[in-house]
Amino acid sequence: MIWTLIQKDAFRISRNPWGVILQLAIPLMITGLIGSLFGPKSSTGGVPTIKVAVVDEDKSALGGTLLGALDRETDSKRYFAPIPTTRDQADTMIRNDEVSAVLILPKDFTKDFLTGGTPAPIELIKNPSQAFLPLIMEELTSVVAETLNVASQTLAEDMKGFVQELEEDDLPDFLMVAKSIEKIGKKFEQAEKILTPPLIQYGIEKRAAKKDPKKEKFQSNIFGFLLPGLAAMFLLFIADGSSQELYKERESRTLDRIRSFNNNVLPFLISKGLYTLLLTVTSGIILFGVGSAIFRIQWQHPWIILLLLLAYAFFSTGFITALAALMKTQKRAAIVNNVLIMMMAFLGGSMMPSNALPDALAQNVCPLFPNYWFTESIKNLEFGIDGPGWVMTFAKLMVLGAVFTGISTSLFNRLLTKGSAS
Amino acid sequence: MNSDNNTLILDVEGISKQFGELTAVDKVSFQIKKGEIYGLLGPNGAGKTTSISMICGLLKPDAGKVTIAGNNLWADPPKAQKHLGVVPQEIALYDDLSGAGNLKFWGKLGGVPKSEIQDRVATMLKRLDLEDRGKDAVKTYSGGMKRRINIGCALMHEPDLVLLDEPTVGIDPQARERILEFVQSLTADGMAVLYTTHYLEEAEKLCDRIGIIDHGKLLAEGTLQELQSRLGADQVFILEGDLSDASPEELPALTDQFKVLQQQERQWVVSSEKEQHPSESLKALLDLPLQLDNVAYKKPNLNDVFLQLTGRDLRE
Repeated sequence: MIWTLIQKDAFRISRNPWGVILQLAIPLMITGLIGSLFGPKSSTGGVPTIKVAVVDEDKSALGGTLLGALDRETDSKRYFAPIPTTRDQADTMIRNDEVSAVLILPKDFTKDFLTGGTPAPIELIKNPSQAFLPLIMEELTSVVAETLNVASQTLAEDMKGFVQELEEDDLPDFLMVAKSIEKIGKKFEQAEKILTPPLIQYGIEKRAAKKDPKKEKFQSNIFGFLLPGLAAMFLLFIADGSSQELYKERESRTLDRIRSFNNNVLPFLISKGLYTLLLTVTSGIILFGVGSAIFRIQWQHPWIILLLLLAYAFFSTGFITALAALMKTQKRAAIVNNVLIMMMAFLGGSMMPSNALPDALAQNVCPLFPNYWFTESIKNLEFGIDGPGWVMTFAKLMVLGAVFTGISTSLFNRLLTKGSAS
Repeated sequence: MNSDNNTLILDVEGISKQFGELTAVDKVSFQIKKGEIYGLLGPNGAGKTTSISMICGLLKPDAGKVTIAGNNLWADPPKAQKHLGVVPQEIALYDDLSGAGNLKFWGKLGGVPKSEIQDRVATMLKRLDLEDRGKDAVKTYSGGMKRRINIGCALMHEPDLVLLDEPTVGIDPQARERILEFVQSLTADGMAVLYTTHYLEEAEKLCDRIGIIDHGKLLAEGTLQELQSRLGADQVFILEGDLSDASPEELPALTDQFKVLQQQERQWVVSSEKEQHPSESLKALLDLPLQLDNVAYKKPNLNDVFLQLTGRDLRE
């Protein structure tokens, strides 16, 4: 009976494969989209190049140095494309969505900085029609402003004498200028650790200190690191999508008709479960395969990941089938299942790493979710991050899948033979 | 009856089903023999579908017993179910599959051997007069064609008993006639049929025996003649006029000879209990002290039996 049911479903899919193709394509497209934005294949290796209109009204050496830093043939050139322009033209560019932000160095910027009288007044205008690129620019500007302010406050006294000498009509007192430069140089040496932007220094030190290739891989590709979590979430959605056939067969009464040949619902559930399992595993293989191609990850333990994928697909199938038995109608399931999956994705570390959540949640709640076990086991396996071992995760997922399958069979049999007035 | 074989195929003993406060089926009992068409007649919501669901193993009765071809249904459901073919009220087919594809699937599910399945599909398509459309998807069929395939799917494994739950709902008279003829032909092979309907013409025309069901109770059963004989003589009269102030109890001349089947403000339906010529009955009715505009005579039908049993019209 099971084989006949499977054959029937396979034949139906072969006559109209678009539903399945769409189910497989959606997570693939989303992963591809994320990959194309953040994966190493993009020209910036992480984020797209940020176009910035730069208005230098100060026309001074300091302004030129700062703006030139954005345009240097270094890493910054990969991330930023500064476009020198005027305030009016910059306004037009931002209105036309040609740039992500406008950076303005106003008149007397250098003077204010050197005298330390007022904070360095860099102006930043963000493009309201863009989401995260202007935010990156804002973050960068605040770091620069902070650094310049610290330098300005520290060197204010020395700078005053230096500027006065330079502003004299006569020739400056070169001895005094030389002393001032020497003094400033010593302060720079002492303040080096503060003035060097902490983010950059952190990165350099980490790479130098740890030679672990797994960690290097993780550090070089943060979005590849997120892939197992994303896959865990999408696989639940795929299992949910393929379970819609359960509701359809109930509503069209074909399930009742099947039960008139054998009133035990188990063969029917097994056939549908195998279909869901197959679709979920196939999706998982595609997600990990294509995802790794986009993110350039070479999985160190592909067979173990496949085992975990099988176990996770088994759990997902049982879980979604049990929900189908509880929800009873397709309409109710459409609402409840989505909310539940989103909640699991959030708390189980699929949407964001669980350690980014508050400690109480990260330590006490997140480890309760099967998608957390799946995600963290793969991270542990591939990147050496602390997490559950794969053997235990495999066993737990298989047991939970079997429990959910048993529950759903019992619930369905009870529900269907009991009937309702409607 | 189309067969003189007295083998009992279905024995339903006091089955009941309760949904909360609602008693959907209340101690219903009847039997069907080989080659017999038994009609379960009743209005919508009478308990016909719930009864069929309990007989085919979809719903578990709260009480009672169902025996199919000598097998206690709930002792070993699949063993009893293999003698059954069920035609649900809805078109329970895969409409993305062809007619032949559906027949093949449901036949295989019923246990038709692989070696025989193609022949049986071809034979069934021929019987259903759908040979030329067998390869088309069911979703392209007309309502009548879908109904025929819906029936054919239940017959592929040649069951001993076919349960048909209102198989002619929503189709035109011509398609209905075709289906009735097809159902009638089933008994030629010795199949027993349980046929539920709320169309009394269908029950009258098709069924060897009829059970009248309402509010979950089987009110009466028998052949058409046996049921009609409950009305007394073979005469029914419809009295029309201003009857709002009249009461049958105050008219002994009426109640001595006639049975009141239905009483409304402008219409009474009565049946004669006396074996006499209709003109005699008519004269007696016209002599009653009533303001009558019209008196009509007709042969009794199942609706009059239903009226007598429930006080309601089956068509209401």
